[in-house]
Amino acid sequence: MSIGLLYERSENDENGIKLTAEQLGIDLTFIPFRKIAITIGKNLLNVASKGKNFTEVLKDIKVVLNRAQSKNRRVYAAHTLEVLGKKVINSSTIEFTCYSKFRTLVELWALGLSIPKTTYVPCDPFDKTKDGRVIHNELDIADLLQQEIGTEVVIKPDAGTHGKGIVLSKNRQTLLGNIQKTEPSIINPVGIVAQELIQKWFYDLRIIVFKEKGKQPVCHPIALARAGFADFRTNTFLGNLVFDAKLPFHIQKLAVKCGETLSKNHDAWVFALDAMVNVGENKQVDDEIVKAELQKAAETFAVVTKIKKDETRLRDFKVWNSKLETAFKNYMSTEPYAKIKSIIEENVQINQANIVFHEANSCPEFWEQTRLVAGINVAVPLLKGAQSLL
Amino acid sequence: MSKQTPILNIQEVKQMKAKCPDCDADLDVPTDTTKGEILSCPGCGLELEVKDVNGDCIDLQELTLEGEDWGE
Repeated sequence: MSIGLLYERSENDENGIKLTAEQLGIDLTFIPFRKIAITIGKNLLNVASKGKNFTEVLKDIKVVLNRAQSKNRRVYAAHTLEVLGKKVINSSTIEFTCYSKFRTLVELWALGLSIPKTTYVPCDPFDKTKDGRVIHNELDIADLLQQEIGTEVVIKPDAGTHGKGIVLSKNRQTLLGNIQKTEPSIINPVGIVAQELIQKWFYDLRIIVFKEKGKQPVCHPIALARAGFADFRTNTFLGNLVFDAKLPFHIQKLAVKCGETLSKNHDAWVFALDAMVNVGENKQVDDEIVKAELQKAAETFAVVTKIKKDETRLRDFKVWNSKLETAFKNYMSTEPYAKIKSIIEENVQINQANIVFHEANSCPEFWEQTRLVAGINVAVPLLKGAQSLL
Repeated sequence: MSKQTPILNIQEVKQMKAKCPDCDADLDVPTDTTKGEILSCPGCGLELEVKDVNGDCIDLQELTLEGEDWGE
């Protein structure tokens, strides 16, 4: 019985999983999940691409690492594989929950975990009557959001990612405009999800929690802090910088609780939790000092960004990876990096009671930032978790 | 009357061999393939861009795509 790696395309994370498996001496069987036909019928199961049949290959696989890039297809893959008798990391129930921000948050809330105040309005900005007229709902939605959240409202696509479609409204006029723009889509199929704006200063935290069968869940003690002043969103996709930040034990415990809550007692799982610290005015350093240091750190980070975009990764992953590791090492050895890291760690320490968890990622990207800055190669808990299920 | 066998004018399509950079499957690539064309791997379905054709050598590279709901 073997471990399968399912994906649509091999991005850096999937190449990283393959490389790590090679280093750990773990055999992986590749299952493509793109131009492949999965056929079921009376006494029939056939899984085949145009040039290869995977039906027998699949029979020998007991555990699958589900790395389908599409959130919707990931849910399909996990559910189908489970019905076929496979264990999947992460499970279909985890994928179903994490697909939606609101589903994730309502589960964390039910266990008393700290989350941003979040409102779900199950209504789209526009509806069409049977005779073709358009009904406008944005005024009613705006009333509800302001009634529940207040003046500053953050609208998020329920199944969005990388900060796409997240908008901040600071007054009613902007809120109405933002509601109008939030049309139903594949990443926002169910209405409007909105949150209060958390005063997170200039950073947020990505925290890795994982579990192997037969072992206690673990929170990696170092978080990836994503930092910048340019936007209220701190996603690295938006050009923010990254730092490592030691987590107080209190936050580690809460993160483990989040993982346990969302995993629904599955034996092995991996999550990347996104959290913010509601700093408010409790800042130990002036903003201008932080901005100046961030600007200096950005100069070294430019080298990292250049290598990240370098297409040699598509031709020779190992060579590209080695260049990336050197670039990150250089970036992290600079004085501005050390200063910002120290400011974040101190701020997390003094505000640790104000942490809020706002998202759980079931198929985290990790090979670049999380591995090289926070110091955890997520491929290891993924592969060890899979091994523990064999 | 004797039946005539129809003559089909089939041109022989010459092909080069290439390998999918991801799954190592063999690809039959027509020799008239040009730089910039997009091929699909029969093994894993990955779309591959022809980066260069030099005699019998063909350089294939994975295309970078992004779907709307792709994410963590």
